[in-house]
Amino acid sequence: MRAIYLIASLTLKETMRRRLWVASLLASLAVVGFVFVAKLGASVRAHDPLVQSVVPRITLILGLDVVKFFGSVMAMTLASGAIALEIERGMLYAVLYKPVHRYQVVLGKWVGVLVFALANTLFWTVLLYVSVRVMMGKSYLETWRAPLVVLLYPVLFGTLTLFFSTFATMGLTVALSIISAGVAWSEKPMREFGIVFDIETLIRMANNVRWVVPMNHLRRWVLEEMMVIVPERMLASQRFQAFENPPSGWEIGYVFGYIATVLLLAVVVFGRRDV
Amino acid sequence: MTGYAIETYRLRKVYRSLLRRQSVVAVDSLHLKVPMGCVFGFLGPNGAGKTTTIMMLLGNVYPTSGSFRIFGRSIAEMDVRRRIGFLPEKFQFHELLTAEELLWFHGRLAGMDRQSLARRVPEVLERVGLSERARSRVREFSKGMQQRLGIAQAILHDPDLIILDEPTSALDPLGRRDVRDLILQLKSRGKTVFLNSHLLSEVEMVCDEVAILRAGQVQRQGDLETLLQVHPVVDVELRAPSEQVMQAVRAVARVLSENGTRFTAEVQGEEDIPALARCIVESGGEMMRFAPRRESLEDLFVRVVEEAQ
Repeated sequence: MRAIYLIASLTLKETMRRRLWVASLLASLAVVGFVFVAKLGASVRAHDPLVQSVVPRITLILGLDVVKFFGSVMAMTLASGAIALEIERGMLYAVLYKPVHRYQVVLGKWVGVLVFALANTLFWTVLLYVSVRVMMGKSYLETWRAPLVVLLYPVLFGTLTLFFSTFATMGLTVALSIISAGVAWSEKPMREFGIVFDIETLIRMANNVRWVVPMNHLRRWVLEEMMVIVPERMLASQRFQAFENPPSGWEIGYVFGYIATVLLLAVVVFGRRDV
Repeated sequence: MTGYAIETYRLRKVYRSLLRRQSVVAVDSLHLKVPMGCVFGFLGPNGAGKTTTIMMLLGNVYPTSGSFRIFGRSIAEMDVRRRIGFLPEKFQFHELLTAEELLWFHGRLAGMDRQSLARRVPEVLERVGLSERARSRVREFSKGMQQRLGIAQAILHDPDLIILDEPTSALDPLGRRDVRDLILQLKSRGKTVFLNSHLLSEVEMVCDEVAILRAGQVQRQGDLETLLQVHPVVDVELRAPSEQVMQAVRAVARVLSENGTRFTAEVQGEEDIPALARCIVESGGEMMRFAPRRESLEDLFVRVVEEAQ
């Protein structure tokens, strides 16, 4: 445990000193800016009760999408260099000969990367809720479980990137992470196109892709937790009913199993490779 | 308990390409015995497999076949790892940490407690001449200073076996002398030092035993004194060397190098030295200088590597 703690602390310390908090600050401004722009848009129709009711809710739902994006990118950025870069630069040579198991190195890096990414994601989420409350006068505390699910985004992408980092070069790790994020993102448009244009192959591909990187399970889970604030018109639309069905217990379990399996794979691969 | 700090048995490492179409044998059937308490020079030309061997000994690279023991035990045992210190050849430290923080990190990782570290960190920083830069970040250090810090990291936890891979490559002459002194000091305290260096004159000054590696195999291994006493060499300078003289020389000795009027020849034993002098004179050579000396490690190295080719 001590080795994991030491490596995690070092990763965190390095991250702070690399001034990644500047990126975090910029993301915070983006979150606040997003709410501000939405408020400006809503103020054009200040006397329309429907707009005043819907805009804060949509802002929160879309704002969480922004937070998901920043959280995932932050985790991927940190995880991509965590092991691959340290091998390339020879940093790990002085670490690996010490009385440390390789799994401790992987877990230490994982904890260090995720603590920073999760702390930031949580901060942006709180900032989003506070901004909506301050600028739009609405608070939706009943959706408190949605931000917790949002935290799984950096966990998912951070773990996946760390896994790539255990066997690939830094450049390849970044490429694989971007590809996996692209694959995950492609599921929804593929399914939509498949249904709208009645292309069976696309629907089948979308069905397979959602298991490769189960981001869409998370996306629907977040939406499920936000359901109480989803505007009625949106809920009633055919499109919403077709694509945004809540994930089953099996799908939620799959997400956790997926993260655990990828982390285990990272441990096994790093444990068996030459450094 | 064995009397050896390191023992390898038919150690072999083959690097294969991703599709396994090409393979490179980096280390081949390596037998090595490093006695405890000695300074052991691990020599070889570039690409001989030295660093791969070291990486295998540290458990960073897995052998394709064969086995090795450190202090008679497996490197997988954490107690064994605690007894090892290592300075890598190509390394970079976490550059945003200060020298002090970095040593604390490595010390804690090596299992040292806070009290020992509070005493030991200033001590080793002083030993490698970095005490005034203890609070400076590693990124501000020159390559030589980083190498000193690397040495501090390797000896911090007072290991019994210290593996130094090119420890002086970035150091100035004063730094090299410090490292030499440090190695001798470690030896006097009964530590085993496994030294990989291309600076053969330095190796010769500090090592008790050497192994010369070529193409992944040990070509010579043994006590340095014994290895160097086998073939004496003679540095000769002639007024006007002729082909006739050189032919006569080659008949009784092995010419290691030729440079204008000078050449260095190796004879089989000390009793052949007068015969060499005689044959030069008899073949008409006029000697300006005739200086027999013990074979240097560099001579031995060149001879062994050339013989193996």
